[in-house]
Amino acid sequence: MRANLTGPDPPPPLPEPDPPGALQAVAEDRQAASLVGIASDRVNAQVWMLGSAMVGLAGALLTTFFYVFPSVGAVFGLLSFVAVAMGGFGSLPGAFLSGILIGVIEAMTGYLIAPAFKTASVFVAFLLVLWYRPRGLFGRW
Amino acid sequence: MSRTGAAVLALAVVLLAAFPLVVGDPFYQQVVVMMLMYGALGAAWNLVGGFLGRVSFGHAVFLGLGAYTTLLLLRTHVTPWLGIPVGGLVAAAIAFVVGRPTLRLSGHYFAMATLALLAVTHVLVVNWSWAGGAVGLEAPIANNAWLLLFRSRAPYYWIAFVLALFTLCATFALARAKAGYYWRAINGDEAAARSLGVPADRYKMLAFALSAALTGVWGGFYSIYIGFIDPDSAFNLTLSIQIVLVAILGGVGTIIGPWLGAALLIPLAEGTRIAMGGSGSGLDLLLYGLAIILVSLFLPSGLVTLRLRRGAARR
Amino acid sequence: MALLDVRQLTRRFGGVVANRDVTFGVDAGEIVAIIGPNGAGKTTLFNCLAGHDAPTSGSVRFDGAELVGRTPEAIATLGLMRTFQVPRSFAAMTVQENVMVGALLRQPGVAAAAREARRVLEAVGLGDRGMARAGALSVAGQKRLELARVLATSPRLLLLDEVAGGLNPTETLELVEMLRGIHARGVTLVIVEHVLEVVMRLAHRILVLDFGQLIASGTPEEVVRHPAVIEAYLGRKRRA
Repeated sequence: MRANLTGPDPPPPLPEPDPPGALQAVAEDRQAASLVGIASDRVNAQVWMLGSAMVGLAGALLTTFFYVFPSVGAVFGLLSFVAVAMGGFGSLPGAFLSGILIGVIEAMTGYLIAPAFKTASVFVAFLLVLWYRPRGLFGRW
Repeated sequence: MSRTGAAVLALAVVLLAAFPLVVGDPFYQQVVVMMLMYGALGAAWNLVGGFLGRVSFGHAVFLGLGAYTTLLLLRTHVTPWLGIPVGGLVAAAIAFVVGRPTLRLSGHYFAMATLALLAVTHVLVVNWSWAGGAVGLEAPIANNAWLLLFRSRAPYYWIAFVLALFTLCATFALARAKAGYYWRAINGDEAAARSLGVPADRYKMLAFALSAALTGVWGGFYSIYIGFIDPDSAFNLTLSIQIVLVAILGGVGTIIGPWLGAALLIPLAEGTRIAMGGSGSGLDLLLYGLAIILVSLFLPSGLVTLRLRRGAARR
Repeated sequence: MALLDVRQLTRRFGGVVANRDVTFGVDAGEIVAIIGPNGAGKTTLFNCLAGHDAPTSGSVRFDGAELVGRTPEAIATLGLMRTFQVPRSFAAMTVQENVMVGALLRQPGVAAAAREARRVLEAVGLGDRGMARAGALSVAGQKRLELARVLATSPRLLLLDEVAGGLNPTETLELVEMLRGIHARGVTLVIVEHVLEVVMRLAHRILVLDFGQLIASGTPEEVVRHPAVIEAYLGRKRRA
């Protein structure tokens, strides 16, 4: 920064935007990502924000056909965990696909077997998937 | 363990032993019993979750198995003196069966698989009418030491105390034995451990089965203490998570950690529930959550680091 | 009979042939060095020998017993130990505890393992770092820890993967002395090395790997003069 003998100092430079792939980098190796200048905490916060926003949107859309009560989140929370794990951690298409799969399994079980076994059959399907594919359907790690 | 650490522990044991003689109020006795139980459950979970490093969110399944085994045997007039250890064995056996496919999964998947097991077992038991179905099982009301059933709550305190002492000694001994070293090595780097001759599969199974056995034994105690179990209370996800919370907040992978975690969380939960739960404001849950957040922020390695830090400064 | 007998070891990764028909023997008490340009397949070879990877074809016999198909821990129990190119210590455990994990293979109990660990740590020069957290050691320290850990298992044959990498000249000389001492106690050494100083001072025999194949084998003097070896490292001599 050159010394300014007259006039006010220039404004400080804006922070550098994260390079593309920053999210993947932080997910793979936080320390290494920090070493190359990626603000891991900021990336974390951004991801949380984005994810929460998407879930909030889904929740809002849900109100059209599902009743609202304080612990309504817990019902879907567990199943969404299973969806991600079944699809494979690190795979977005996997999570999407298994989300759909879970919905189908739930509905089919409720219709063909009994409504009481709906959630259990999802878990059984999940365990079966893990048996044959220990990293989920398309898991990266 | 440092000499001051051992002294503090001995003092705590003596105080806990003397507690019911000094405090007769059954509510406070219940709080301490729950504290001892969760401390022990956390310590048992720690074997697989802390030392071995495989977080299990479904540990309540072993509690439930132990509880159901004990009460089912009690129904056929088998005393809990036998039923509780058998409950532990049943839990260990199920762990052995279930462990084979799940222990080869990596951390995140293992955690989810244990959750799935808990959920599936829950549904299975609900649909088994011979095990009480959705209604559950209850222990007969009696005052018979042979059946480990008492009218007053005090004897249960002693049982819990002895079991807790046993759990503490067992986890302590295991951590300092060959198993403890091998578990921590597998946690550190499984491939490197194998290259040093560590039979990783055998030891992972050992941690899982022992953890399940201890949890099952406490499940047996729980069933005769509460006197009643049903699928919702025995195979309860919240209970499962509470166990993990107690262990992690106290200090995962340490011997004392889970007990410290239980000492903070259980009295806090019970105390706030009694003081504020009735008002319906949810303040008790808020305080509970706040405590968890504060500990996570300032003592991320657990309550146990409070002691370690002081020790380090003295040196 | 050779202690380690490798025959026609081949490892394919799809289209890439990392090791092709590698055949050699190592007698008990020998120090054999494996050298070769980067990417020659040296670490892949080690992985196949130690059981971390399975060869596509070929056989590996250790003291007569076939190793292919066995788990790494089973091979370790037979007495064949390896170190890793990038040290893989148990970072959360102390230095002594790390070595104890190795010692527990042969020692009858934790106390005996602790004694053996302390002895080995003294021998490698980490005697005063026993209580330090393994993750806090410098790279050189971690390499010594790697060595100490396998030594504590009382191995018969050591596969050392680039133990001398990243050491300054003093540390390198210390390492050579240490390895001589280990060898003197009856351990057979098979070392992968880039640091030729270590190779020339220690090796009885050198094997040269290039593009997955064994291109030369012989005493140090023979190998450095071998035209195929020179070509592998420096390329074909161009006309001026």
